[in-house]
Amino acid sequence: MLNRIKFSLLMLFCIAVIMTGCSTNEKISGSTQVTSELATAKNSGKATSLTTDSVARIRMAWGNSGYPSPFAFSSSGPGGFLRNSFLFDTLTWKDENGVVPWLAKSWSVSEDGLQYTFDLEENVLWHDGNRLTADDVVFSFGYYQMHPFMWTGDISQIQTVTAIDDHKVKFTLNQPYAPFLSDLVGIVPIIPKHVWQNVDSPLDYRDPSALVGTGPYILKEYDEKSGQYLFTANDHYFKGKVLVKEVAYMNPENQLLALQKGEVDSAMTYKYSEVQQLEKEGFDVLKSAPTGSAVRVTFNLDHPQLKDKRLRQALAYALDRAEMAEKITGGDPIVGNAGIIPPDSPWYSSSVKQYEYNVTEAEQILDELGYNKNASGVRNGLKLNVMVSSNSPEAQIMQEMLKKVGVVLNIQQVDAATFSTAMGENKYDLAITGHIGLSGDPDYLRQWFLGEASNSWAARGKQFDHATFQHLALEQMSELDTDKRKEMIGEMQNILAEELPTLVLYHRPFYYVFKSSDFNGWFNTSGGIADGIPLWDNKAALIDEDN
Amino acid sequence: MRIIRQLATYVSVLIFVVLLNFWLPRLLPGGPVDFLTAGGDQGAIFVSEVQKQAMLEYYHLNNTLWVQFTQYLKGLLTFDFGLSFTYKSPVYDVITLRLPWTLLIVGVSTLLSIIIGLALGLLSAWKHQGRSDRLTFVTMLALSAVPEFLLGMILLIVFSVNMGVLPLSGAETAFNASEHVIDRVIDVAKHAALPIITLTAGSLAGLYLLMRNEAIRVIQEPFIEFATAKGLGNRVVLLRHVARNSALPLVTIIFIRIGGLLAGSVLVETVFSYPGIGKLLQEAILARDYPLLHGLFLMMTLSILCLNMLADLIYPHLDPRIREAHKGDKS
Repeated sequence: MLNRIKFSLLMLFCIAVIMTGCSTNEKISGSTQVTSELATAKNSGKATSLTTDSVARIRMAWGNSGYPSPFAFSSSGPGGFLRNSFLFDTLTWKDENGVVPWLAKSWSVSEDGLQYTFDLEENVLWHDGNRLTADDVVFSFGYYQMHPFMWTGDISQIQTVTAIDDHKVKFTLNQPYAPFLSDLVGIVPIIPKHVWQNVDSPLDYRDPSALVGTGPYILKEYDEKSGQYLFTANDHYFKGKVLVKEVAYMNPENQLLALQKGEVDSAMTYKYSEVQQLEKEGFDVLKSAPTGSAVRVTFNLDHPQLKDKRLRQALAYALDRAEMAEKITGGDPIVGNAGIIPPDSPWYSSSVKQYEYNVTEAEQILDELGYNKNASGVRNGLKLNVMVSSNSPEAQIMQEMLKKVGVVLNIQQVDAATFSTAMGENKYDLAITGHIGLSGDPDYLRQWFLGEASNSWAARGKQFDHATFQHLALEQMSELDTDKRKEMIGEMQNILAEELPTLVLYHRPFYYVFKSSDFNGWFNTSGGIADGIPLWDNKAALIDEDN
Repeated sequence: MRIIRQLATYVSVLIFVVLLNFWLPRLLPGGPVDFLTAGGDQGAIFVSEVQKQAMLEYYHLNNTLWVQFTQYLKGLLTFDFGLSFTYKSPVYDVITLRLPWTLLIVGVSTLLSIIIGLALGLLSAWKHQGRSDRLTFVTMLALSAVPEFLLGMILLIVFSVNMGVLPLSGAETAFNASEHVIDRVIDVAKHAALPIITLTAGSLAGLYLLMRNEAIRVIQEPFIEFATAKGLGNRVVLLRHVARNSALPLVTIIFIRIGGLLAGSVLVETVFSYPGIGKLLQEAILARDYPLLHGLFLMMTLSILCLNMLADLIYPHLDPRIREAHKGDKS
């Protein structure tokens, strides 16, 4: 009997040992594998560190953005696109002054704006040593027709792409498309034909060749489980010398602490209080200009009460957005333009109707609409829900402000996926969203309100039902004369301000916190990187073109 | 006969879980494509209808639920759950990349909490009514009342933020240039220290209390008195007689704990931003990543079922009373 028990206990012990043994084994094998990778990293580091006046490594903070191939990067947030842009190049790019030649060294446009001919740079090598030719460009756009590029860049505008010779490509468009250079060929990356022509399923293609681009960096390591990246300079970059030898993207839980503890060198944030704190501690700060972002309220235009624009206007008058912006953003608050485009964008029209804080005006409209106040000062029959997807101080401030005019606002907090679905199915009254992308080409007004953009915050599948606006939106897209286009965009802003399908609460600047002693080449990209990303990790900042 | 009956129970539980596994994630409001295109705090993108359709097709989400279900069943048999929506790589790879880290912290802390819990419980029972028993008892009760994440945050603030001796988050220093294996091991240990302490503290109290109660009961049994009367030393009585007999009811608990290994720890991994299964599960739920959820839930269910089954099989060997009862059952 005793023996049996002994035996059983022994067995139990063995199982326990095996269980724990598994975990320690894996741990050890995991760490040795990493060390060997690091050893090679070190060796190559030695080779490049001989060159002087370049920075060895900069560590930036950003979340996981997925595997950075053109088909697998995460499309939620700009991180994925930016990681990808370090590896892959586009025909044009943007720097602090606007669109600049990139893979294409020059181009010409036909009179009717339908044909673009690009001359490609001639000494461009793919990371695997092959030479880039016009065939790769033609192939790329063909491939994206079958396997869409999961970022912006509306390739349906393109009719054909043909190679004229090895380094000359001609694009023919279906109709003139004003943002073609900045928002189409400036966004869609060129991929190597010799790699992708054999790939049927690009999303889960994880062969190292999936990252073979022409870009200034090569991905040395992607730590998928923690979402961290280590890029190393491409020594044969066609544009010039890459100034920062290694760029690491770290994923700390708390950016502020990570900066203070020296776990990262720079970070991007929109929290002004943190920025002030860090400035005191000796960090340098760059503010995004143009701001490029908005925090706004979307109204459900199908809502029985909100479909009346007078109610929307009354709500706009009742909100002291200047105070809200001041309280939340600090610094120099930018009150939201009723016409959506931020005041610091070249496309902003200053003559647009604005809604200054005016309680009497708001009360008057609400009275006219028949929402009478009862004895306790609450308006009868007007009870609205505002949907938010994260803890939103805006919603709380709105609630207080609307209480003053007798409107009851109920805050409804849901998770991101639920939020998007409710937006898509028009099951909300008001919703608050914050996002970027407002400083680039203003064609986004068309995409938002003509139901082109299938995203959560542009009333998906819904058109903004206004004939003049729709007409203007389509017309501006094909208008190649900038002044004329500006006029049309101004008119569109007037309509948006009058109709208020959405009310921008404030424009939120981003801040880049860094140390200029590490590297001081950062700049604000004109109109934002690519489609208006107001961040600083633009690859153009990291390259010395004269070298 | 008994074994067949038990097997049937396990199989039916498994089938039930497999069905639930498919439908449960789909009952959540919102879908994966909504999440993918919604964007995070810092921005979202425009997805055109063409892109959205391509996405739906790629993930087979435009198929009818029935087709999706049969595909899911087919995947189960081949252990191929498809592609994770968020990571765009096979579910199997996504999980195996994170599993070792969870096994490390949860494994070590389970082992520690078992050893410390049982030892303290035994000692406490031996000194029953004494001052040290009182002290440990009250401490453990207090410890069991503190939620894991709170304890984790306190530790984090003290050791990482204020004292700066341990790292803030993660499982290892990223892109660390050190060449020595020893340095790597120290680095990993430093990152794992706080999560392990938190997890150990979290599950220590339960084991301690159970062990203490059992041991107190066993000590009062006549055979202990007899053993002492035989002239056996304290050590022998405690280890050979008390410990062995009072540990018996803990076997089941320990097996359940081991089963929980694979479930990771959502709270602790989130607090320390530790790249394990628990954090992955949380992300998968938020992202409505159906294939990943299928893979994770199935892995957890299978491991718990298997260990339960093992406990069922081993228990009669450990406890003669149950064995006798089964024998009676047979005749």
